[in-house]
Amino acid sequence: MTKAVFATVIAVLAAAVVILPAPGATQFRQAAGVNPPSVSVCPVEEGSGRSTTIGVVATVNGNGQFTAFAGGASAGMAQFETGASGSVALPVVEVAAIGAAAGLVELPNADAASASMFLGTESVAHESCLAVPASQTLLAGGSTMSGQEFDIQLMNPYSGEAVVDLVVRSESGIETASQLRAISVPARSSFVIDMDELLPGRESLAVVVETTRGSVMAVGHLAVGSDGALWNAVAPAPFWFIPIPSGGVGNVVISTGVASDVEYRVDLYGSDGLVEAFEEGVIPGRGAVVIDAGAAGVGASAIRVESAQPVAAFLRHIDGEGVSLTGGSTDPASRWLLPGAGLGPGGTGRMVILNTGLDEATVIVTALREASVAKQFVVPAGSVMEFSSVEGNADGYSLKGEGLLVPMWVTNTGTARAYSAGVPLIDE
Amino acid sequence: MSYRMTNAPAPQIAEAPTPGVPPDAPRIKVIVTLVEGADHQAALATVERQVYGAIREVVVIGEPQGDLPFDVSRTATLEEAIAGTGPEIDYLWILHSDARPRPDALAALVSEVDRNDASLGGSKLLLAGSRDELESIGSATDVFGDPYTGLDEGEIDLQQYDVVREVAFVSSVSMLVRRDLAQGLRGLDDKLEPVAAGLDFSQRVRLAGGRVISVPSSEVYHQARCGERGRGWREQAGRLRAMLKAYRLITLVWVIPFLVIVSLLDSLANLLVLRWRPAARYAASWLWNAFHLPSTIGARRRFRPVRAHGDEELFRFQARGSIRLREIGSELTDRILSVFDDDQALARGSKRVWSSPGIWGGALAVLVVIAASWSIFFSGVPNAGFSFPFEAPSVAADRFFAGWNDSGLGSPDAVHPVVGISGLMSFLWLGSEGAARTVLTILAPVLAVLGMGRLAGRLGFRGPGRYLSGLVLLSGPGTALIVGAGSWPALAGAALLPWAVRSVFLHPTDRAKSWLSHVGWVLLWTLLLTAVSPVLGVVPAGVALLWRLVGGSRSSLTLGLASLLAGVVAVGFVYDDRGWLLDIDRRLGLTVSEWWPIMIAAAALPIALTEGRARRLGFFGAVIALSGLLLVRLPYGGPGVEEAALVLASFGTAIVVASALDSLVAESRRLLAAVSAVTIVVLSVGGLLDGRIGLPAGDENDRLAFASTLADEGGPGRILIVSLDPNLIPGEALPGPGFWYRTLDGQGTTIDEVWLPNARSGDSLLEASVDRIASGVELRPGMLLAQFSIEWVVVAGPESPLDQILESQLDLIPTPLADEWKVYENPESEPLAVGEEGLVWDRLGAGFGGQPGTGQVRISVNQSSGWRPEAGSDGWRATVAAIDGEATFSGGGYLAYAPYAAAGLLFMALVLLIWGKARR
Repeated sequence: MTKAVFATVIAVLAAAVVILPAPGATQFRQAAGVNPPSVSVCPVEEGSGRSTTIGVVATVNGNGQFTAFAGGASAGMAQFETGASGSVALPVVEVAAIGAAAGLVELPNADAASASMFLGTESVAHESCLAVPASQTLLAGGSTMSGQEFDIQLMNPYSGEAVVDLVVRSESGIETASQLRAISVPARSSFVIDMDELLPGRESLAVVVETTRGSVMAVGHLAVGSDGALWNAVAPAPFWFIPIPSGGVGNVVISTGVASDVEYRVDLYGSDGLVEAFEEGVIPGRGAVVIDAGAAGVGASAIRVESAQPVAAFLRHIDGEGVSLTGGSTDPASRWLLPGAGLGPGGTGRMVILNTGLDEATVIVTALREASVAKQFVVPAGSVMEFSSVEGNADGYSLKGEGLLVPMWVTNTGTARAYSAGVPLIDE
Repeated sequence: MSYRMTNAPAPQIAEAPTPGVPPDAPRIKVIVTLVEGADHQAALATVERQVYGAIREVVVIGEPQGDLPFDVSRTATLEEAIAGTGPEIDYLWILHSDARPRPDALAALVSEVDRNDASLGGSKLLLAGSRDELESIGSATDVFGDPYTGLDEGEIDLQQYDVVREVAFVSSVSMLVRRDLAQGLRGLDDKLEPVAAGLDFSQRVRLAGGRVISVPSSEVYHQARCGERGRGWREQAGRLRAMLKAYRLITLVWVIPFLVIVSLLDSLANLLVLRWRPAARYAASWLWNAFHLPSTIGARRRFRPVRAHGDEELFRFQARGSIRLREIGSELTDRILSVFDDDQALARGSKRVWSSPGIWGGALAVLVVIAASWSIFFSGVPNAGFSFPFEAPSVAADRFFAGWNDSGLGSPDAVHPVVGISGLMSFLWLGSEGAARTVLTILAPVLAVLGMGRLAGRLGFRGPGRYLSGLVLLSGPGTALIVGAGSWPALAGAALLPWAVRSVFLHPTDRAKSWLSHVGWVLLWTLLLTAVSPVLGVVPAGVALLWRLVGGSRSSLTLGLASLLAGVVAVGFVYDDRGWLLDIDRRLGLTVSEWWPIMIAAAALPIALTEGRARRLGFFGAVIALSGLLLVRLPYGGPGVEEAALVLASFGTAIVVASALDSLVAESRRLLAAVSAVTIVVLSVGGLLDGRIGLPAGDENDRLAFASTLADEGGPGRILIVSLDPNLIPGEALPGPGFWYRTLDGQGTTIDEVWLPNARSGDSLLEASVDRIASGVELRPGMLLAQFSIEWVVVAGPESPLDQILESQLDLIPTPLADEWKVYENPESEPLAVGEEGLVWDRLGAGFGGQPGTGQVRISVNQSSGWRPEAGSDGWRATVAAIDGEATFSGGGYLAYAPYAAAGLLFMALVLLIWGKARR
């Protein structure tokens, strides 16, 4: 009897231990998701006949701060308030006289953006400032042919050193210059790489910026004649939308950071509506292809780039009037900010708006300044419209409409020209 | 053999010298020194009966009670008696009144002294009332004057030493000395006890050029009323005085420092075996000699003209080293060996040594302990997981006795009681907390193996499995996991558990031990056990009850109940940190493989189906083991319960193994059980061979040492460590948004920081700050963390979303200071303690201190009213008045007295042990 009791108790206990599930390991709390801080990093340039104005636009009347940094330290700082219009323009010369450097803009809220406007007597460059660093960004459209000067500026506003590899492909293939590897960008500083000196005589340079440590944001500077262009290195994406101003005979440059060849397809929003598969082809690994945008016709148009692997698409326009370069937009949205738009002299800007939706869109364009002015337009479905700026200067523009829109700002001073993509706002 | 000469007959009237004595026979004067309580008449009678006829005079020293025979004179002092001796006397026979010489004793002495041309001869002393037990045959000494008789305790006289030889000294109980020499040396030192007096006189005789011999044919029975056979403090003091009188200064210069060292070592070693008297004797002997130093110096001066030889003459008869240390060393060795040599096989002789399972079980244990701790010998105890260094004894004591709990952002909550034990052990190890920790860690497997062997022996096991089971306790299904996670307290708990359980079991042959001793042992072991692992503290009582329930009879429920008193040592901690006991979310999440219950059942079931005592024991062990495993899987209880359940599982498994391997017989069920048990042992031992006793590798304090190395005037601040893997975070980790985190003391994590106290306002604020940083919106996390004095942020282990966030911020500076971990310096960090005038205070013990000043000092710890002086708050932080230059904390409430009660209980346990021992 005792034997049976003992054996039963042991068996039951052992079975209970085997059957009973072990309590799950305690987990940490789920992260609510990462919201990057409302900051943007802008290239600045003072001297050599050029000065920089930072245009800030926001959806609120809030405070912010601009800090110019160079050589590991702050070179100057200014606090600002966007005011009732939600916009402000900050001449960098009033903050610091620092040559080619960079600045960090702490924005009033998440629905805000800033842009750099470089102005010279015969040059203009305009581009939105970069908000989010990425480990890999692409920068294409530069050239070091005679008469063209191409620089890459690496900006690190953060507290830690960053290390960057540049993978550059030209018509000669992948460039092997050792100076392109393990480029150190110290904390709170920017570093300019003179591509003319490193790789002279290259007609087309596709650059992959790979950050191996820290965080870096890259912009390209291309000078042709007296004009210059400023454009951002962008993170690769599978879709791109690029409005093309009327009358242009520019190029669309599509590049990839992938080592293998990447297939792409270009759809055209032209005067005849959407033409799918307007052009198809293959981008060589870590290289770029150039598409003639003039084939779309003389009127305002747009293209949509779709690829099997993430790529980047840029609009480049070089002619006697000047040089313009900007990246496309990855996602159409109903609300956009165009910081710095209208900062050019004489109010000579234009806005090109692509409506990628299937319905016509009513769009309200507001020139943000002390006394803001709004205009309303209608953009038919699947078409591109071009609108002149309102009278007088502005710190920036905002666009609010229905449907899926992609805007671009064109600054034209008469002696120079600049393209600048907008900054989409996340739909509420 | 019959009793001899315990009492002499009544004294006889002195007779005339025996006719026929040769005229040239040496003439003797007998000097009888009175000993309190001894019958001097009987002594005189034995003198009267001496066959030696040339006794010319008998003198008694002192004030005897009653009349003396007419021919016996009296003088006040020995010196007077010696000085008053005329030249007609050749020898003086100095005899104690508690000595009973055989009739031929004097004749033998005179004959041998004369024949050997000696100056001093001593009789062979036999203990009166015994079966010819030898007391002295003349002795050697060591350089410190400690006598070495060469006799075993209770050794019987079988004439084995009956040869005349030179010795270092002879006892003053019965000695024959040349009259002229005695007068030159002024006799015996009357301040000394008999043995010391003999030593002193013998040394002086030898240095004066005389020979000192032992004459075994002269037998004297000694009632030993004149002292404790040389063991009292006066004897010890006398030996020191003899040394001071005899040695030259050059010898004393090195002998005295060595004697001090020997005294300390001997005292400490005796304290280990709960003997306090030796230490007291040393103290008393030094004091006595200090008091009598003038007379000692005078005696040295008087002896100087007589000295004929150097100290080398004494060294010739001295043993090497310290006899006292040799004796205590031998005793300790015997005690240690007897722990596992139950069968006294070593004592029985080498031929039968390996017939004792205890011996080879112990030998195997030694091998495993060496293999299990080799890395610790070379590299020290790992600092990882939940295993961290002890604090200095004073700081640990401060924290334990209701001081400040410095874990995290600090708290008035009670610290884990292991802090108190660590402080006590460090104190006993002369304040060296590192050495104490290393020794305790290496001792843990020894204790575990020996403890299981002893417990198994008490439960009735005799087979080889009882020591092998200790290996299962150390690294069985539960302990391997919990110790592998770095729980040093669990390792210590596993080592102490069998001893604590054993203390509530009574062995039938252990009845000689008094009840007080039993209670003392129960309290001592359970206090230690509860201190290192509070939940395990209830196990002895539970096991005693379970043993009764399964029909056992040796467990004592009364002792089990007494063991529960030990809970007082942990009551404050458990009450303050109930989550440690109850919150399942704080568990380490350790899971025992499903194979273990099957293995245990495979070993226990066949035993349960056999006959005999092993059946009950196997069942008993299986119930304990499986209950432990079941408890681990039930969704109740916090990390304290988890720790205890895992250790309990290994403990029960160890008993099962001991049962299965108790007797190896060719019977199918026993064989099946044995095979399963061996498999369990093999699986367990495998986990021990890493050389760290199963503790995790690594030294996180070393990895984070940059914090203290680079600290500024306010000392190192705190470290915020975050990781996706909680095992990479020292001690307990808090669940953060997408990772684990906690703060650490920058000067190195210590054992008191392992568990985090309940969250207070500062902790909530820190949690909110961490959440904000993790959300990515904070551009200046350093500024946010500055108020917590977080000087460093460390991201440990695999890459997490936080890495990207910290790469995109403005004020934490990435610094490559720790291999594979990302380290960010926070230049914005505020000092831990800073005054209004900018005075920075540093840590001081368990509090803070610095230059006194006016106003308040703000301390970055959770505010509490227990801070002194003038406790206040600045937000979540504590403030004190700067006037004293020191900030101290003292906890309040009734539970603040619990540690004092625990200390009292420990003291009581020791008193009971000593008292109980004395009553045996």
